[in-house]
Amino acid sequence: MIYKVSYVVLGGRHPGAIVNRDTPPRLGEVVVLGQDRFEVVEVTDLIPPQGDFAYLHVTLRPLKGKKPKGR
Amino acid sequence: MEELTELLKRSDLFCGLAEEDIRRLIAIGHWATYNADETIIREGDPSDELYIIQKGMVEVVVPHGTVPDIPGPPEATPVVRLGEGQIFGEMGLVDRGGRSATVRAVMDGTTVFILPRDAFYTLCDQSHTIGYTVMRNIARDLSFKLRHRNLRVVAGW
Repeated sequence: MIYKVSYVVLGGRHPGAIVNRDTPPRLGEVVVLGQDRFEVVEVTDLIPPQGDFAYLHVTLRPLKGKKPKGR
Repeated sequence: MEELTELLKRSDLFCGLAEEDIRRLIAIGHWATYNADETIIREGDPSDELYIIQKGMVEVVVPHGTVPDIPGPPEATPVVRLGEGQIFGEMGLVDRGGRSATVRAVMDGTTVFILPRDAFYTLCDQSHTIGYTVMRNIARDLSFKLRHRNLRVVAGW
């Protein structure tokens, strides 16, 4: 299954993202978008699955601190 | 060819298509690679191609005033980032209007598969299965993006 995820960031300062993942997002997981880190605070089904694809919405909370260099 | 087919199967644009149909789509397209901050398409330009991100990430930027229900700053504003497997340029493929946004690469080596509209429409005329399936998948993608935008409004601009 490929998980097509709509990332929306609380506060609206980050534009959010739509990406494919091989694993489902989980509450509390730390997600890195570019140089910024976020915590997953909500995961919901956005639309029903189709074929090999699941369609999810994830709400993210910004975490302080940039992604460490070299990772 | 097999590797390309497997890569494109990771985009839901091709969901529901047989491998032979995907190979026919690959045959009419081409690839391009961009560096970070390089513009791929520019708002207002004529639109005659659909793009599928094979590697990297892009940022979609709209000029001020084009998203009336989202109060944004007075300058051009990034509205979403798109990663591997996502498509952009689909509005122009469907409605033949000008580009509604500027799209630029976020990462060096961002690689896209480009599907020319005229060749795609010719293929759709030859195979209604390909045409119906891809157009249905484009509609689902547009719906997904609209739902993403609505949730973003709720989250607070």
